[in-house]
Amino acid sequence: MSFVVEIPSAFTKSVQIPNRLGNTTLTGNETIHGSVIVNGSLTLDGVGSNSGEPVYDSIKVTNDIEVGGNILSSRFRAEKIIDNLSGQFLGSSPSNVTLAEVIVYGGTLHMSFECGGSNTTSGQANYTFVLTQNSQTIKSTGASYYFNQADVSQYWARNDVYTNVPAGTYILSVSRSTNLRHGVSDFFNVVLIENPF
Amino acid sequence: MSFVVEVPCLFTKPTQIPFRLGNTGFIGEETIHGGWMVNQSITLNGSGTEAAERVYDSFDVSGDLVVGGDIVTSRFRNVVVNKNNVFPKTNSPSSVTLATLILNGGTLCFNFKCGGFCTSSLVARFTFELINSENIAIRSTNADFKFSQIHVHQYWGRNDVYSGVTAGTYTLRVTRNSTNVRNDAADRFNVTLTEYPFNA
Repeated sequence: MSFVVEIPSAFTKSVQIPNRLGNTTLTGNETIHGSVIVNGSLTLDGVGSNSGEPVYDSIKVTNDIEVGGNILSSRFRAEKIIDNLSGQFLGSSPSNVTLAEVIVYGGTLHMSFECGGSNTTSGQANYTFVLTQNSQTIKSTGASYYFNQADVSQYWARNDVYTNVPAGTYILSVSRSTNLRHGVSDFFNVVLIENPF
Repeated sequence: MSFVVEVPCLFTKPTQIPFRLGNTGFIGEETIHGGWMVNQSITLNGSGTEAAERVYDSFDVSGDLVVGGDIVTSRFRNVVVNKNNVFPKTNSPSSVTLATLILNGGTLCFNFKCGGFCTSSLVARFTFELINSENIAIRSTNADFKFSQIHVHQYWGRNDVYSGVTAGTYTLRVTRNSTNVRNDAADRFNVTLTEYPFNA
């Protein structure tokens, strides 16, 4: 008497593989419609010719995540947008200049604005940095400074955080109060750090 | 008559486990050479006594990564440098090492703050340089300030981003552009470095 036992390709009960007999190698593509619990190690980037990076839709880690290499995300970047830009407001006009085109990937934006300038009179002066898209103001930051003396160059700065800025291309510009001057020895510097949250 | 059929532990064809009826537990060490698709949850550190941390070579997350604890990496850190009285006199050295920095290969966000005064009216410049082990400046940042008045202390700064700097030990050096530019006991160099775990 002989018989054939076929191993099913669809298991109809919960399984524990292999409960007693060692390790399991699954050579084909596996689809599990239920949950998976692995009490030992799980090697997803194996030694086979089909090895590849595991791709997750999302991952939730309740404790720490340790990373030996980099964390790659388009929303995780640091960029010096403006580097020692001088001479933008030499006289009484213009009152507004475009500084840069900024590509945003949808993260949280940490903006660092550094300003230089002098005022033709004593009193408060103001730069306003504006992020626009299609001529609409999306975010803005005021950077005021009180000049005790006329025609004396000073440095000042502002940090700001912009949230909920959708991915897209924007224009960063700066406007100034009337008596504020930005000469050839005064500088704008802007650093953008985009974080993935 | 009775007999025993043992299910093999080496599956040579694609399987669907379990297609209809519930969850799957793997007790041993699993290696999957093909694709791996799970339509419901994956518990990698389950309720068993053999639970352990997982180690990945790398993985991609197309959506969100939600972390309840810290993101632990040597490339995620802050360094603070505070120094004063660096250029107190005309005959002080015009280049001074501020710090030794051990870098781990991430992107470097520097915040340089300067204090000083001038003995003549000029555009003062402090140049910060990152020096490698061969004494070569691989990155630099100029921090200029126009002194309209002499002997009046001022404060200014620069932010900068250095990417593509390989891991290693470096020194941070500052150089003044004139011996008339001073940084005395009342003036501070304050440098913060945030290293991020990415390379732009």
